[in-house]
Amino acid sequence: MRSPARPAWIRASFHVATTLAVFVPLGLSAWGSEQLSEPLVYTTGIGEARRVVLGQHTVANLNTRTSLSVGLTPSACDIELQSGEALFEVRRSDAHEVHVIAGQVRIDADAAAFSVRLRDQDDGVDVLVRKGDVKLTGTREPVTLTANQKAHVSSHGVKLERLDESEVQRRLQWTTGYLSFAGQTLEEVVEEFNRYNMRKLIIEDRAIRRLQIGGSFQSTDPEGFVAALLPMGVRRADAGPVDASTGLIRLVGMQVR
Amino acid sequence: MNRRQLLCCTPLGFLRVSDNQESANVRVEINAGNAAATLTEFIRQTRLQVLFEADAIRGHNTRAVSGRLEAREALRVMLEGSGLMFEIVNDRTYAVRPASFARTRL
Repeated sequence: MRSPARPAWIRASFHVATTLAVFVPLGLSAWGSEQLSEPLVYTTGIGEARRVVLGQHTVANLNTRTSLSVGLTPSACDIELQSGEALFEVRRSDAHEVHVIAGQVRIDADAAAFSVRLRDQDDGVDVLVRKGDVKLTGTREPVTLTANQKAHVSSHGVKLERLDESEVQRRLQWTTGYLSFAGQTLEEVVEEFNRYNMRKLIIEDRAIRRLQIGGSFQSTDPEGFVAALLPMGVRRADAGPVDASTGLIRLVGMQVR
Repeated sequence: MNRRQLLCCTPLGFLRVSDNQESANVRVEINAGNAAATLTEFIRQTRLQVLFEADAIRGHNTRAVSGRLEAREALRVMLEGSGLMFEIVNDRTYAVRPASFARTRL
């Protein structure tokens, strides 16, 4: 079947676009090497993960529901975490600086691996360092965080925490698509699953809220997780498929009817 | 029904042991030790989903296991004599609990 001929204005637009695509980048590169180009924005939806290479020195791993704005120049990489959470891996460089802005906090890093999470409802910023050290400013006093340290920065100040290496690994399991638990309450675990899924878990029985959960699950398998709770005495309040209209999976103890 | 299937059976009707169960062998190398640590290692090496109640398995120790074998066989060896048992939730998910777990305590 013969395709209809394209109108002249579409053909003309195509030529203009091609010309711009070829010549505009050439023009921009000649336009002062320090000129900041338009920031790039990278996003993930609920349950998605994304790994992006930012220039020659930084890799960012975006967790669920995350948005990053990135401005790159030859001497700096300026990243703004607009929502969500990301793990940054920054290579050593004498001539290139990497800055991450999250809320009121600015993080300067060189040869480090660290995650930054902007918590919902203005609950502050978490910074967790896996390798190297990072400097935090925008706080009352500048703070240097070293490997296996975590800072929670909120309007109340900075709360520092020293963690085991295995605990840091556990908290960063999301980079592999899994969630790992080591004694977190069912309430905390449910909150964590709900970050990754449209089908929300909801606890409808106070008696099971404090159950301490251990193990590891794919972050996007809430149904599998709920099925595995049954031997612990936790079941779904309603049988059958998940309610499509509410997307809720309601959890109760075995004795609640 | 062979011995292994019997081990996986429970009084709970919801569990199933089907022919398409994950049967690929995996390489495992897990030392003896406390159950929370060894199960975490089992998860890391097999990439399977395992759930347990952290409180309930405290104080239980599991055996060493090494070699190339089915994941559930590795788990069976680990848990032998530990006072813990496992239930198969689905093809890639296990729940571990004390053998004497009282379900009615909630």
